[in-house]
Amino acid sequence: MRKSKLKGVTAAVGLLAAATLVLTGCTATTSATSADSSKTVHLTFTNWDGGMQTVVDEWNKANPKIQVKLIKPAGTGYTLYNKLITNNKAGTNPDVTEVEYQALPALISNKVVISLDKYLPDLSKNFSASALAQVQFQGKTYGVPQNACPMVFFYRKDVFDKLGLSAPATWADYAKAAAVIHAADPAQQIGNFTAADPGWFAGLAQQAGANWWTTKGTTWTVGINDAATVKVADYWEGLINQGLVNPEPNWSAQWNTDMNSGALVGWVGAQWGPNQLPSIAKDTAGKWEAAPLPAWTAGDKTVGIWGGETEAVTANSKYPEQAAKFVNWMNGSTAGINSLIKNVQVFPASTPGQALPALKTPPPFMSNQPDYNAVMAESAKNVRTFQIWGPNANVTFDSYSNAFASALQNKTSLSAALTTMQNATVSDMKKIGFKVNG
Amino acid sequence: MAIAAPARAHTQAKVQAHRKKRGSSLPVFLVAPAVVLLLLFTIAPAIYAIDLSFLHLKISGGLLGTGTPQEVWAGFSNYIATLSDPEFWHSLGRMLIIAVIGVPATIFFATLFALSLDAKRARLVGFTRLAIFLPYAVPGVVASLLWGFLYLPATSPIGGQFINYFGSTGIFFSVTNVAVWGVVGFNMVILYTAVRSLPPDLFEAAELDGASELQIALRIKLPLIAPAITMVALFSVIGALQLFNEPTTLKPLANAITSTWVPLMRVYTQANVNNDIYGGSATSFVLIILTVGLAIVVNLIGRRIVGRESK
Amino acid sequence: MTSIQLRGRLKRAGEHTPGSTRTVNWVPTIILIIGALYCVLPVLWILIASTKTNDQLFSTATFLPSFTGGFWTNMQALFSYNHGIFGQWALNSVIYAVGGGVLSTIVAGAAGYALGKYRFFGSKWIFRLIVAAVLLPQIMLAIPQFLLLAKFGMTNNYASVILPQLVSPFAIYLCKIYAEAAVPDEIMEAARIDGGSEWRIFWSVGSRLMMPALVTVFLLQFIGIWNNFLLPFVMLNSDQLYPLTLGLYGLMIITGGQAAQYSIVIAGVLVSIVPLAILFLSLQRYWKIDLISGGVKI
Repeated sequence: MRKSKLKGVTAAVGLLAAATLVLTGCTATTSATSADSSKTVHLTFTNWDGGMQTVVDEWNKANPKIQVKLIKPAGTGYTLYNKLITNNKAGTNPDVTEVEYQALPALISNKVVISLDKYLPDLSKNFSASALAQVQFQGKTYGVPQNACPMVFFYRKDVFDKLGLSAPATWADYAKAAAVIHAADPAQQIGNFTAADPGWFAGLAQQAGANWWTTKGTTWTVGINDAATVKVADYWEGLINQGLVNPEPNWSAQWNTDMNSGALVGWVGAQWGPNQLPSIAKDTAGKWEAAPLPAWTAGDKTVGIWGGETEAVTANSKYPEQAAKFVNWMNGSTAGINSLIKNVQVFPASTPGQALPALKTPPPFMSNQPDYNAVMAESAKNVRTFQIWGPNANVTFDSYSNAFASALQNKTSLSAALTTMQNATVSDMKKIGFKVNG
Repeated sequence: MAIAAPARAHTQAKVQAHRKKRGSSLPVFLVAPAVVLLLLFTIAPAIYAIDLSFLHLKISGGLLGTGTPQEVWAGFSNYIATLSDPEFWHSLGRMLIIAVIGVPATIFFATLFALSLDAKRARLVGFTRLAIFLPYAVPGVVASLLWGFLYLPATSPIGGQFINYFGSTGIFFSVTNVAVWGVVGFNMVILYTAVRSLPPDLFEAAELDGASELQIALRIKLPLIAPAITMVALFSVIGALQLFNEPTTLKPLANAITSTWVPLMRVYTQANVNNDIYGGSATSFVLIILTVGLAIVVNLIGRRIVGRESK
Repeated sequence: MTSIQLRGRLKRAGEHTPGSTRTVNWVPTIILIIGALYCVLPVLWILIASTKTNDQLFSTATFLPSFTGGFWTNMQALFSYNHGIFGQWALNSVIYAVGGGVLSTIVAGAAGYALGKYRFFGSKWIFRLIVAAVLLPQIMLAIPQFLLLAKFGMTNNYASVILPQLVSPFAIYLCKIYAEAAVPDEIMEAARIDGGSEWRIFWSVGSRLMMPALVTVFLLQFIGIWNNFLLPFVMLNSDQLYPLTLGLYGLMIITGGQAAQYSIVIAGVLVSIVPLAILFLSLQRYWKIDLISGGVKI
């Protein structure tokens, strides 16, 4: 009560002041900027990455006038984005938030985040078109891409060597290797198929040439059960049915143990894998290597992405200019990117960032593979994504987890699960009011 | 309690007579905070939720919407969507399966422990009572997390290598077990205190007649604590209806549980993941209507049975 | 009811004195031991797991504790995580549970006394409304509660978590039942004849007689608020305000940059159970759940 009264008073004072300014003929803009630069601005920043506090500390030290406070959210992924959408109405969102690429369209259409074109320099110099496609919609830029997360194949070099196998170049090779590994030791499998990670499967579909969402003008076309995606689903279903791949979800205690004990000797993962692996498979450190993701046709280098994020500025922020400055420092400047590489083990999306000397040494878990970052850089160059992420990828992703988990549990067809996803996505888009083909 | 009931009926009649005579502002003043808080924080949000259940979000213009998304009238479409979704009925079915296993199990074990605690010359009574109660102090999220470790083959000390705790059938027992583990002690304490408050003269006579401990427990104590057992059953049924924490925490461990596995998980997913508080509200009201309907049916059947017996 | 119950308890308490026990009654004792093991072993597991480092958790025998100093490492990691925010979370949990518990007990006790001992205009309907509110699931109410509070700019603070939990239909129900049974009209009448005002009677007679119910209600509310996850999750943005449940859950699901820190979470779980266990041990004497069962009519 008291607070709102106070607010009213300050607003009135502000109005009076503005009126005086107009009367005295001062230009409001110059006076406002000088006022801004004289006082310290406090920003809040939601991000759940480990090590981010150090990055923020470095910014705060270098920018005493713009102090950033890091907030760890109690939910990640879509629970967080949903909360951002709800809080947007209440006006209580943080100034800056972490957003995974696939969630950005939903936040834009709900007016949670704002376009930053006014505040940002031209990004096209330092970022590839595919990286910018993740943050630019209809000619507006909503963030600075932080990382490129090409998918790669991690495998236990020691086990592969012992069996006379090399890293599979194609998915056909992968299936053959899977058979050899399982035949040599029935307790071992080449990897797992996870229903817990929709982004993982989306990345595999991207590689195969799928386009889950495409747009023409203002009309959407949804193709989650397109031929390319069905091909991917059928391929994995075959491996699962033969018992060559374990249908267990990533990140569970069970999966951790299987990775650590050697029951799983490979992992279709992404660039950020080595940050996770130390706490998952510590006993096997030094035995893993990364290879480019197996291809559908020999010689094709195309890969999809799994994960990847940007920092976006919310509509609730009172200091969008300062917030954009922080975002651009973190993901677009050498100092920021260096800090991210060192503390969050990011593989930057920025092209000059990818050439930084900090990336010359592999991450600690992969210290046995000196060319680790060369593999990443090569894969990052050949990334293929969907034309655009849908405005309700949350519904699609939730539907993936449910439909694929049920299919794996009940041993029913995975391509039928794709149809479930397609229908859930299209009907939700229509309900919200997007123009959808078909 | 059976013994206390007549006394209460008597006093109530007296109080009623008395209450009419005297007007005091005290009761109104005492009940006011509860009523105001109830109106502000339960009734108002509930009415708001009814309103929401008839709306949905509309985005218009451009590829990603030009203006702020608007809430528009949806009629009964959210309700129709819930009722016509087979997955909603499946989730209800799964909840019923868990209730059918869990409620009798809770009542049985709570009664068994309560009667054992009250048995003559039973040892370790103080320690075991506390031990059995302890899980009630463990948050549901945590309880599920730690049972998850016990179920998964990799870390299981209870045979997870041979028993599939996350199989299509096993999962029902796994979830029920976590829920029962959490509440059996609480219900045991209710029943135990009920047994302890029975007048001992009742058993002494039976003992003199040569009744065994077991006979006393089953023939005398058990019928006398029937009201308390009803209370326990009621708690357990409400608990089953509100089942949420346990399956939600177990979900990431295996493929067996989806995000709409039981009705309240569906509500949560709609409201907190899929940005559809409107559909979530509609699902909630369908649930509430079904619950009230069920309660009325049970009440009617119960009355009919009681009525027949009294004849 | 209370007087009979008290007599019964006093008399039968004698049976358990050591002198009268000659042989052990094995059947109930074994049933109880099995039950206790079932209930305690998983909790023991937390204790044992808290001695292990993250990788030992998945690589050593489940029920074998580790003596390599993992316990202190975990505790240190827990309390130094993110500039020692865990201590803040623990303090917040105490503020929410004690503040909310005390206030909601006062609200429920007052309302229960009024509804149990007086009949006034609308009292019957108020009681029915309160009982019916039990049916509304918290999961449904949380977001509407947030949206309404947000209209007044009242989210993301201590009050936003405490206020919606102040009125507990179940607690009011309990207090009403107990007031009816434990505050005899004769005493109230006698006090009135002595010239005591209704206020005085409530303060010096009613509230004293209802004390056991109030302690029980406080404990129930304390546990409910301590363990609540959803409401703080919806209401709070600032991690400085999180209670333990929210903070620990966040720690558990953190991905993208670091895997879930199970060993820290387990240490946190252990720390968060201890206060509840102590509370129960110390208030065990006042724990009188049976007052609930008195209210069931068949």
